[in-house]
Formats: sequence, structure tokens, C-alpha cells
Amino acid sequence: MSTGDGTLLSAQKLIRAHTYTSFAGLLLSATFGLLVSIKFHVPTFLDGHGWDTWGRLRYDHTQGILYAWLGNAFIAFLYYAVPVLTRRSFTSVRLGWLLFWIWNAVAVLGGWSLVLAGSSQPLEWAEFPLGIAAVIEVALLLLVVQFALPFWKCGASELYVAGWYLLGGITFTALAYPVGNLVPNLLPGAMGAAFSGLWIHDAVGIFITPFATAIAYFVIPAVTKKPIFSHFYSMIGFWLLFLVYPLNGLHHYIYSSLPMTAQHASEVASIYQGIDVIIVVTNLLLSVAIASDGSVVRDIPLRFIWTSVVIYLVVSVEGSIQAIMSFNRFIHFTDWVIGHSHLAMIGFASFAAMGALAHIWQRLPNVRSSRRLLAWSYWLLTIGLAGMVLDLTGAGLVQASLWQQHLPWIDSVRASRPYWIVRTLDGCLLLTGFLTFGASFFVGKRHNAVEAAATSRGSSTHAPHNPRTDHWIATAYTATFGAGLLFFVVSFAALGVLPAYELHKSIVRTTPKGLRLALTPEEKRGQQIYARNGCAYCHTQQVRFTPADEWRFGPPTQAWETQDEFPQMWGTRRIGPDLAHESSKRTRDWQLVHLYNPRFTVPDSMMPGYRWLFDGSPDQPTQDARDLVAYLNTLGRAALQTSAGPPQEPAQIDMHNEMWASAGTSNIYSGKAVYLANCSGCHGADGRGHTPGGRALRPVAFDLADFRLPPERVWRALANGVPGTSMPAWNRLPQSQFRAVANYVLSLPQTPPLQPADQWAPEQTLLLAGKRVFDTHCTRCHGDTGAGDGPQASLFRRPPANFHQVEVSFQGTTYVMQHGVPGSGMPAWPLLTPPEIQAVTVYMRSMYQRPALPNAIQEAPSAHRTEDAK
Amino acid sequence: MIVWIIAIITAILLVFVIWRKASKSFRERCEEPKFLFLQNLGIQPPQDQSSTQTTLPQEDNHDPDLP
Repeated sequence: MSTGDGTLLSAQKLIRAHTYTSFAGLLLSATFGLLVSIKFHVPTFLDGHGWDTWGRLRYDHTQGILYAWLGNAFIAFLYYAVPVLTRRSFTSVRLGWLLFWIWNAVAVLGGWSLVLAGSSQPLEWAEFPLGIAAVIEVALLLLVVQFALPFWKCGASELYVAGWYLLGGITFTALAYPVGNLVPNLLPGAMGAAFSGLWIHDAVGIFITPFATAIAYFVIPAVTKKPIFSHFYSMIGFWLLFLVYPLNGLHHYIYSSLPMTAQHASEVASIYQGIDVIIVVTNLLLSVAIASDGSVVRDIPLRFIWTSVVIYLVVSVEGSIQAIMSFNRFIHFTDWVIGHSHLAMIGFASFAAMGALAHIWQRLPNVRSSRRLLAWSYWLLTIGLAGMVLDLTGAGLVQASLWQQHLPWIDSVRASRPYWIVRTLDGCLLLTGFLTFGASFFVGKRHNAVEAAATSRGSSTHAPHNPRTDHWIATAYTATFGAGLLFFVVSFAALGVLPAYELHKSIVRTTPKGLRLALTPEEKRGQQIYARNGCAYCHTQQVRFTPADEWRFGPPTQAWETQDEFPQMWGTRRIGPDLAHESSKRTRDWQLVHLYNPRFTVPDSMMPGYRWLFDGSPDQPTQDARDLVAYLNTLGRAALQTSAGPPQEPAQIDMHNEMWASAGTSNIYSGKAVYLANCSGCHGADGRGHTPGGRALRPVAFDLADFRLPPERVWRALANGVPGTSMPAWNRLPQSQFRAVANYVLSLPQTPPLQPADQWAPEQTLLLAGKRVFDTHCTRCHGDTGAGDGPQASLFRRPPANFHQVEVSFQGTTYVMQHGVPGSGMPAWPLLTPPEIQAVTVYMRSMYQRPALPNAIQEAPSAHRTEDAK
Repeated sequence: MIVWIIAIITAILLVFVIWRKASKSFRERCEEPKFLFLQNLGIQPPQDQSSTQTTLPQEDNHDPDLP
């Protein structure tokens, strides 16, 4: 073990090195977060490459905060605090520098680079690829070697609570880390999710919380120069934290197919954890309240710390409430949870880390620090954080409310957009606060006073100890720490191994026979592309056992459905809809067009485009795009095979009754708004379908403006979708909107008769010529009478047009003759001359049998035209 | 199983609480690390500033004549 002034100097160098890198990590990670936030409301921002796509930046944002920022800040704190707490130095300076380079050059820089290059894991708080995860585990073990030995050499009965937290933090993190990073790669789907859930919470509870709490217990008495309120109750809080926290993890997967006993266990443990935090925070705040010299107000680092303590209470109580099943049913997957995690990671952990770094920096020789900038950073960060958390909490409530209602998913995206813009503004404020905080370490007065505490070797002047009491306390504390380790293993067994075992038995028992579960090599490649681009961070793959989920997404996800998924991609957030049953919902063409540019099919989508998976247009996908869509079409495939057909669509509309009953009451103008919001992506604002998305579909989007369909067909298409095309069902629209858009679509066709001045010949001549053209070119498919029943009609998936029911316009026919209808059996007829096209159009129009329409619908086109004329 | 784990955890901690209530020596001794910590920082602990004070926790360190 190193000793002496040389070690002190080296420790100061290590503290500075980790502090500087923590600043760099903080600024870069926050920048990643800001870019991610901007992409929410400007989805085309930086969407040209794989490396800057939303998912990869999101991975680097969270991993950067965890390792580049907080990891470095906590290690800097360890170098300062451990010698003070143990009166012993850390193990080795050389090991310190080895650890520094492993942590930063290999783990952080390597991890960031690999994630951007497309190598990652779709696991919350475990996004760095497995190779980097192995390096981090080695670094965590080196941390134990570097810092745990001094603690073990220090008597257990004399160890201050901050030391216990640090010792627990480094030991338990090294144990917990493989649980979330390695095990989900060995156990598929639901079984892996059980372990992922443990790490999601342990990353915060076992890594972040002990260090942040240790900082509070260290800095508060160091600044107030008074002992904490109660060391005994601080120890009770410590034991509760380590004994109970590992039991919380599964509350991230409530209402899932994990065993219900495990879900209830995590719920109870989460509530119990809230009680622990109340004990810890009460003790800390009473310790702050002891100070009577104004230091609480004057000392900026302490201000960061006590703010962190208050937020710790808020965020923990909030977390306990979120774990209660009835509340979780409402709020889970929404931005509420994102607000909660930002409150924890910025308000609690980062404020504590900043307080610690500022506190240490003021005690290092030959460094500058600016109190004014530090104070500015405090207020910028406090205001920015408060704004962001309030904003995301509000967004979460709005999303949760909309998800409970029978409304289309996209409504929640539309409603969230203003909140996401405010979040970006708050993010700018936070980034400015972080920059100011970093700057405060480089400007201002240079101070030379060396805080002597780190080398203090003063002997105790306390009353003589009772050796028997000392022995019992040391034994009890050591035994309880050992019990903590044992409980960690037990929690691993109770909430990981046991549920996984039960799930395995359940999967074996419930998997239907003869299903195709295994993925093809192409589908597996698609799964990897899905994973490395962060798709699971917006789209869950688990329909929960809640009425709202079942209504919206179909039957709940059973454990056996994901038994071939390594690692699991259940997800913990829904920005887009759940994809567990995607295979039955969309066509391959729709998926490809949507992937190329989501706005081509869903006008208000905020999903990033993946143009880099295509060769310039949506109908030229690369193999990667084809593989990704192949994977999407496996989601829910097995479940579909067990049922007679696709999941029953809810809210079926009684077409005949609704159609005629509502025709006279719907508003044609509100129908246009619904149409533009939902239909214009494919069919175009004018209804002609000449949009990039509409033309890339196969068959291309229907031209609603040039071809008049019978009302019943329009209503049926809206209610049930159109099989064999990319037209989905829109029966989740509220009935008022459904009626309005149906009537608007019925009002779109403009098929005026030919003006005499435009006619190539008298009408009778055109009719005769048109019949000759039709008999020559069209009857094989459209039939002799134009009813769409020609001898070759049965060859096509979609039957040819029945001109008794479809009224064609001259403009529409001309376009179809020139371009055909790609994706259908209708080819282009470029050799037909304009007079021939006009003649055959006149002939086809003569076949049309106009249905009797209610007055409202008959009048609608004029209303539409009047509006357009304005 | 989880009920048992939480019950055992609570029992262990209750043992500590009861032990602290029962033993003055334990009560004093388990507060001592916070004073040692201040010493390590080079800060004079309160009992060194005034010989009348003890190493008892603040909640026990009040004037017995006061309510």
C-alpha cells in the first residue's frame, strides 16, 4: 500500500484526471441527450447516417452519464474520501492510472465508438456491447482492489457511514453488473427480462445511490464542521438500502408474463425502500439543520448536496408510488418515467457528484475555482431540471390519459409534441448549467491552501472504549454486511433465478406444438439491426395484462412467445406503439416506406427515418432494410399461428347503420383535418396518391380524387382495411372522426363530364371507339361488361376494377394509362393515343351505375370545392 | 419467500434498535465513527471543545431539565 506525500500528490493528480474526464463525459453525454431530445420534434434532424440515428445517440447518452460522468466523478471522490475515512491510502498509484485508462480509453471511448458504429445491446443501462461490458466488470473489480482493502483494514466498529456506503457500492456493483449485462444474453425473452429488471434498478440503487449518499454523509459534516445527527440511524438506512434495494428490480415489468409473485414482491420491496429513504433523508436534513454558521446558504457545494438529498426523497417516494400496481398500470411506459429518471440522475446523483467535485476542488492546491460561476450553474441546473421534470411529468399524464382512451396511438404523439419542445429548451438550460459548472473549475482565484484532512493521522481522543462492545459492534456490522451479500444472492435467486425457472416450466408447458419459433438467418440479422438502432427504446414488445393494452394491441404477450429472443427486447418505454403483434398488422411495402421516411405513411410521426438502409428511394431497400422488415414480420407470428386469424379488431363499426345514420351530420371540414392528419401521407393532400410514400407502396396508394368508389366500399375500407394492400383499418378513430373522414373521402372524387370543347369527337363516336379499345385491351381482366370478371381476373390478388361501381375521371385514366398501377395487375399502356384514352374513358364512364346517395354526401363535393377555391 | 426475506431484514434491524435502546455503551459507541470522521478531517469534535458534552447522539444530548 502506498503511503506518504508522494501518494498524496499522486492522489491529487488522479483526482484531477478523473475530474477533467468527468467534465468531458458530462458535456458529451448531455449533448447526446440534447440531440436525442431535438429529434423528438425535428425527426429529420441528423437522420442521414446510422451513427447519428436516435437509438444509438440514446444509448451513448445513458451509458455516458453512467460511466463517463458519474463513474469518473465517483472515482475522483473515492481518491479523496477513502484516505480520510480509513486513515489509510488506496492500494496503488500505478493501479490508479491503469484503472483510469481502462475506464476512460477502453470502456467509455470504446463503448461510445462501438455503439455509434452499430455494436451494442438493447438492454436498459447495459447498452455497451458485451466486450466493453467485460472491460467494465474488470474495472469494477480493480476498484474493489484499489479501495476495498483500506476499508477492510479499518475496524468495522470505527468505520463512518460514508465508508460503509462506498464499500458497499464498489462491492455490490461488481457483483450486480454481470446480472444485467451478461445473463440476458444467456437467457431469452421473459427469463432474460427478469434479470434485466434487476440490473435496471441495481444500476441506480447499488451503483449510483451509495456513492451519492456517501457524498452527502461526507460533505455535510465537513462543511458544517458538526457531526451528523445520528450515526446509528444512518447505519440502519445503509443496511436497509443494501438488503432491500436488490428486491425492487422487477417493478419495471409489472403486468407482464413474469410470475405474479415476483411482481408483487418487487412492489412490496419498493414501498419498503421508500421507508428507508425517509429515514436516510431525515437524518441528513437534520444534520444540515444543525449548522448555524450560515454555511448551508454560503457554501455552494453544500447547496448542491442538500438539494440532492431533498430530491432523493422526492424521487424515491415517487418511485415507490410508481411501483404500486394500480398506479403503474396508468403511468408505465410514459414520459412520467423519463421525468422520474432525469430527476434521479440529475437532481439526485449529478447534484451530489457536482457538490463532491466542487467540495474537493476547493481543497486542492494550485487550482482555480469561481464561486460566482458555481452559483450560476446551481441555479441554471435547478431551474432547467425543475422545468424538465414538470414538463415530462405533465407529458406522462397526458400520454397515460390518451392511452386509456380508445383513440389512435398517433394522438398521444401529437399531444406530446409541445412537451417535447419544452424539454429541449430545458435541456439547453441544463447543458448551459453543466458548461458553467465545468467553467467554474478553470476561472477565478487560484488557491494554494492544501486541505490537510486527507493526510490527517490524528489519534482518537475519545473516552476509552469498552473492548467488549467494540468487538460485538464490529462482529454485528461485519455479519450484517455478510448478510447483505447473502441477501444479494438471495434476491438474485428470488427475483431472477426462481422466476426464470418457473417461466421455463411454464414455457415448456404452454408452448403450442408445431409452431415456427426459430428465426431464419435473415430474420436474425434483422433482429440485430433492430437491437443496435435502439428500436426497443421506443417500441415495446410486450402487451401487458391491462385492459388498455389488450384493447389497443391485442392479446397479452405470453412468456413462450419470446423464448427465441436473445437478448430480450421487451422495452421499458413507448413512444411508438407496441410491436408484439406487428406481423399481422402491416404489409412489407408499408414497413419499408415507413422505415425510409415515417412521414410518408404517418404524417405526424416523430420516428426517425432510416434512409441509410435504402439506395435512394423507399422501393430500393438494402439487404439490411429487407432483413429488418423480415424480423418485424416475425413479431407475433407464432401467436398468430395459434389462432384462426389476426387478433380481433375492436370497435367494429356497423357499416350500414353508421353510414346512413351519420351521413347528414358529419362535418366535411373536420373530415379534412382528420384526413390530412392520418391519410395524406399515402394518399396525398389532394387525394391523388402521388406522394413518394404512396407511389412506393405496392399496390400504390389509391387515387381518391380521380376514381369514385361506392360509399359502402369506402366505409368498409376504412373500417377493416383493404386486404392485399397497405391500407390499414381505421376503426380506432373516434366515431365522430371516422364519420367525418369517411364523408370527406367520399367528397373527394372529381369526375366531371367532358366539356364539348375538349372532345376529340362526338360522344357517340367516342363511345364506339372506346368500346373497340376496351374490347381489344381490357376485357381479359375487366370482363366484357367491365364488371372486373374477365378470364384472367382470378390471377390477381386484388380483383380488377369493376366499372359498374367505380367512376373514372379523364385525368385519372390518362395517368393510369401512362404509369399503370404498380403492384396490381394493371400495366401502363403507353401506345394508346390521347383520343383512344379519351374514348375508352367515355366508354368506361358509360358503364358506371351511380348509387343513390344521401343528400349530404351528394352536396359534399361542392362544399369541398368551395373550400379549395377559397 | 419475499415476505420471509423482508421479515428477516426487519428483524435484524430491530435487533440493532433494541440493542441500542438497552445498552448505553452501544449507544455511545455506535455514534463514535461520526466524531472520528470529524477528527480525520482535522475538525475538533464537540466533546473536545467542551468537556461537558459526550459522544451521545444529538437526540440524546439535550438538557434533561428541558421538556
